[in-house]
Amino acid sequence: MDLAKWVLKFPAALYGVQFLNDIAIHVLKTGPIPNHIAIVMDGNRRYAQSRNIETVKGHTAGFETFLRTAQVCSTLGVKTVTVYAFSIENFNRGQEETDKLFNMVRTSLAEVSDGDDSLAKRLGWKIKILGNRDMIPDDLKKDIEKIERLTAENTGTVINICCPYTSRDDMAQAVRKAAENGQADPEGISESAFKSCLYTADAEPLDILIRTSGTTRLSDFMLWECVDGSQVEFASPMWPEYTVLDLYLVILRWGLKQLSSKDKVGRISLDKLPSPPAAVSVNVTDFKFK
Amino acid sequence: MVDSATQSGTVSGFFFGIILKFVFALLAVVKFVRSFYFQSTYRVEALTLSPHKTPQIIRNDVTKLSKVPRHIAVILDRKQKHVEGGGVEGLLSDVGEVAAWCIGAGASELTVYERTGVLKSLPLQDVYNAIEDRLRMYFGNSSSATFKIFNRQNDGTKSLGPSAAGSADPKLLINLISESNGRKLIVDVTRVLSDMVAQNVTSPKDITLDVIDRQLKERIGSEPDLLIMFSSEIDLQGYPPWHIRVTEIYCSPANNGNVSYLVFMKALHAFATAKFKLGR
Repeated sequence: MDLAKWVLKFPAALYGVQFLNDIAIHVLKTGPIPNHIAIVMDGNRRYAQSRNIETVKGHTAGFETFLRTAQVCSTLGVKTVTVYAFSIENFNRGQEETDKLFNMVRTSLAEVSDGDDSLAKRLGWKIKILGNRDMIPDDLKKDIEKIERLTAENTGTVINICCPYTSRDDMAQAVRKAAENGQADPEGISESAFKSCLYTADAEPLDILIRTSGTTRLSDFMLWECVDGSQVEFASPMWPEYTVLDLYLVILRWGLKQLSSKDKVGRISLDKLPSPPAAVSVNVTDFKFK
Repeated sequence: MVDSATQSGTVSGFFFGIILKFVFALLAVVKFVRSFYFQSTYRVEALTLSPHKTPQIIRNDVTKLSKVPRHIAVILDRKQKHVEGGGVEGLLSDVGEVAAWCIGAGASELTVYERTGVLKSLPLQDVYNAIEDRLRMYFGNSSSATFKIFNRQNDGTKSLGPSAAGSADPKLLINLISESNGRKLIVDVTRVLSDMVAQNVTSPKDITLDVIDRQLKERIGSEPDLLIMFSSEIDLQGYPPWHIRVTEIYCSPANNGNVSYLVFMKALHAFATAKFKLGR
């Protein structure tokens, strides 16, 4: 492992890795590419603990992994990437830690979107913050609104940052909104009307959900979105150790499943089929012998 | 795939497409070999497992664990009729087996999710009898393994419990749920609440997370502690989204749809070793 790191210090080796990565992206692009990937970036603190470094450094390493992953996704043509940055449950960690986390969100957002040379500008990222805005401190809220405004016109990958978010909170606000909007005709509230009230209303259906660090729970993330037709992947590495190769393998496995399920007859609703020819019955009285 | 390559109109695109096909082929082979390897090791493991159709052995297996889930959920599939263990009969015997393991392991609630709702469409008495028959194979005739079964419908639940009046609380509660108790239930609850708003019984700001939680729990029960899938990949098949918030999810890549005691025990092991640290 150390040897590999040493070899990678040489410019030629770095160039070689870059070259292989480019080829991998070109290859993947000729196949099916998921529209929407959601990630629980879990394990930053455990990563820091296991290496005896400060927690903050673990979070910084996690942020770098996020940038790398998001870049790869947008080069591949993934339309939406949703990440879990801050859970409402995180407020349990106490004032000091939440302030730290919020500060990190603030500086990270600034790093991604400030200036003409920023990633958001270069790759055309449209950044959105999903979650309960009432819980965000006012100054951060202003920053967020500014960044959303700045990137609103971009046409590249949509980066959804969930902060502070839980899926139940999302569903609860959607129930509230849908119940209020639909009170003229409560019976007429449809699933699609409900869906349009969720934070992820504009996003494509979720194709892949990745959770790192070996935990096999959803922890209140994308519950509504992931129960039908999504591939849920529990990966064992801590988030800072999650490599691009891991991501490629997940996308390949998803792609393989798409290919093999293409031939099978899917569950399709009747109104999506073309209409059959007119149905007639032979009226016996009209039938004359000649 | 070749289509997209010709669309880009380059020779290199064509070659990249061929590489991808090669990678896919490789991946399919790896997948096949892996599942073959897993399944053969699984068979061997299953052989070393003692015959488990007695409660003592199940209890013996779980006493090694530090904790067991109170509420277990399983996702079951109806297999095709001509396959061994297929059809509705196969499904019913699967439910009975899992119920017996749950009682043996000391869990007090079991939720059975079957997407199409075929179990719920059967007469509840038939389902009850089928499970009772299966439990007799484990616990004998003078059975203390009592249970109560709930057919969960969004607009009212039917239940069936032990017939003897004045008997003690049943050992196991069994919920039967299907796809219609999933996303659709949340929309149904929204309709109910919207109706209440329209009639000024409640105001939108009183529709809190807790109110919704209570409404949903009333209809299909609580969130399970452990969700077991018997497929080789995680496929939630439209499971009620509200109810898998922090549920431990278990799925074994080695299994292929068999409702086996080995998978059940492995899931309990995974649950016992999992750490719970909500938001911390």
